[in-house]
Amino acid sequence: MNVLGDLLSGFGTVLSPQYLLYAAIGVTLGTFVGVLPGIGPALTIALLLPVTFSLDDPIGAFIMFAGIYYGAMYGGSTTSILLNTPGESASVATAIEGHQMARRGRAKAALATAAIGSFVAGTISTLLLSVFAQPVAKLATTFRAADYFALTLLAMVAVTALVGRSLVRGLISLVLGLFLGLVGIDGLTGQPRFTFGTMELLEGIDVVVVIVGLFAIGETLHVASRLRQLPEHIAPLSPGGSAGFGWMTRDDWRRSWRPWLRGTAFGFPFGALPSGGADVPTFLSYTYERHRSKNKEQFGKGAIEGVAGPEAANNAAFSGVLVPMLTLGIPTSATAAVMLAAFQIFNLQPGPQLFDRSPELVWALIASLYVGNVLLLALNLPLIKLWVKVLQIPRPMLYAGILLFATLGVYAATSSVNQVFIAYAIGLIGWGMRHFDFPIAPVILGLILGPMMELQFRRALLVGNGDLTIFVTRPLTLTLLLLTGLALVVPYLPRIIARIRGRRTAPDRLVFAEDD
Amino acid sequence: MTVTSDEPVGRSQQDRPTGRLSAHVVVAAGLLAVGIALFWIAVQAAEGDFDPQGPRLAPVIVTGGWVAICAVYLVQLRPGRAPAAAAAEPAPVSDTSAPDLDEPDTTANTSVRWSEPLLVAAGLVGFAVALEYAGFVVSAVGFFVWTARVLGSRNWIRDSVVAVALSLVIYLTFTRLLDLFLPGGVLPL
Repeated sequence: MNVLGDLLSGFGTVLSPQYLLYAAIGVTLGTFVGVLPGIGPALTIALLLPVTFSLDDPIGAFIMFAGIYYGAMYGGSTTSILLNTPGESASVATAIEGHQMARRGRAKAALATAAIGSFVAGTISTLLLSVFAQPVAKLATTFRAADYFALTLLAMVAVTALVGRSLVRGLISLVLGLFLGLVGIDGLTGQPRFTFGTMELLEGIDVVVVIVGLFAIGETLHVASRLRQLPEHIAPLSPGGSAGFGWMTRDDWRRSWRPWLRGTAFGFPFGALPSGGADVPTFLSYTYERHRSKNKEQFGKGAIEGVAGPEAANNAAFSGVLVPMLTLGIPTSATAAVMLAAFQIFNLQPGPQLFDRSPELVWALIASLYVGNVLLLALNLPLIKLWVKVLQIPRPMLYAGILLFATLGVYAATSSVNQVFIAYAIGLIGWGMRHFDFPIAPVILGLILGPMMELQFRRALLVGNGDLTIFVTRPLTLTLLLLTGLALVVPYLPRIIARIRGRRTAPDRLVFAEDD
Repeated sequence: MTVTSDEPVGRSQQDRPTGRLSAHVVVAAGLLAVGIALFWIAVQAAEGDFDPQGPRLAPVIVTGGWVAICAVYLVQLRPGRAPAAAAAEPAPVSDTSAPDLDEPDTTANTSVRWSEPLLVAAGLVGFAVALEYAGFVVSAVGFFVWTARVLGSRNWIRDSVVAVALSLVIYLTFTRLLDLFLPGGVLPL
């Protein structure tokens, strides 16, 4: 089977009127929810999961998800630029430069470079995904349980170490996620763990419940506690739009295209590595453009390179994240974790076998990423006035609506009021975490990857007759475990290097971003 | 854990360790206590069976890790080292390149209010309790109007109209279009 043939048959599936309709619904819903301030792609997908329950056809559902994800990302950049409220950390860089551009009357140029840059990056990185996915899946078939154990450990630790301001607080978040993952019946022996004698906890704590609790309810309670400190002012759209092609002047194009390509080059590989998705590459792209730019003095005051690069990196990273997600079944960002949950709802297990068992679905999903990208470019800029209207929804009604949809999402997904209460309780924890500056993403990863890690650990021991040396005798396993140790040291590298050079300055931990 | 209002104003949260430090210590100590309780439960459940292939080892390791990390956190926060620990956490990316145009976007007052989140939480609980008795539409309308009011809306006619329209649209979409169950409750829908 060659990639081109598979991909073409994927397009053949997607380009039917029914699936195009799903894609269009997906991008519209995704953009609509993504535009709402404070809502990132992970929550958008979690909230919209129930909408797909009634589709008995997984291909349609996943085409819709791809659209929702891309839509959420475009919507998020619109909010960052016009309102300066990044819904996720990957949009922080966009918010810095983009909002400054908007305040200087260049909102349309900022929106255009974000949208076109995302399109360019999305197209190139989806192409890379098409090329790399199958070889990586082939490689993954040689992985044993011990390797999977080491890989999940690496993904968890690396993301926790790289994301967030404090390693210790990140680890506390991770441990909380691991604990939540333990609750319920043990998959191998049927023993209940941490169920405290209740029936409700026997089936474990659902990812959707945790995500809605932490992101929607926790976030809204946080907002409620600091009502008067939110940016309310939406930057005006009108001036400075007419010059040049596609809202950008010739100079804007000249300054944008290289950051787009560089952002893509940062985004895809870092997305594919277990580094927490888009946070690291967007930050690297922003830093790189700032240091390299001829217009250094404009940075912090609305430099177009600072929007073009990170937005491209953000978008490229998503296709990168899909590589370990689809081929190994290992999510490396909160968004990928929700996508994995969606797969499981349709009884599909991502991993090397997915390409053999449901090639039609995989290639339709990849093809729908191309289609979603085109649809969004066609939708986002012309409909910008509509999205600005969404931004103007009064805050009290907006947050009341978010909570309403959060409750609805949990109830529709579980048909149980008790699960709604669990989500509320997790929401309270999430509020505390936001308040005391604990990162959220490690909780989600611990919850998803923890059970996976335990299963592979025990499976490896089962194969090796209980011999613990199995984790150090396989070169691949050992390498992955050593990399895990290294990941814990990386954040302290600047401090260590400074000490080696005998300087006392630069004591900062290397910090990429706040949590997802 | 209340944050007093006489704290320095106009600094980001990370820059003022003193006021929040005690709250952080309380949180760390609380986490440590919960961790120890869970660790004890895990050890009890294991009944001496720590077979790496069995289901009892992972809870012990996770809760043990919880206790260890919280202990480290508490040590990091101890009074003597406190300023260093707080200073070792640099400001977020967005702060390092803070724009100097006009006045900053984030307002200076960073005081935290407790009444609104608690009232919102009370509304959520009421919503969940009423959901299966009064039905989705009625409870959702009540919840929406209540929450909007708590969050500062004073236009209750507008809120009510939006709430009724939104709830009806959601109810009809879910039950008629998507074939998902939502409690109908007291309304003859």
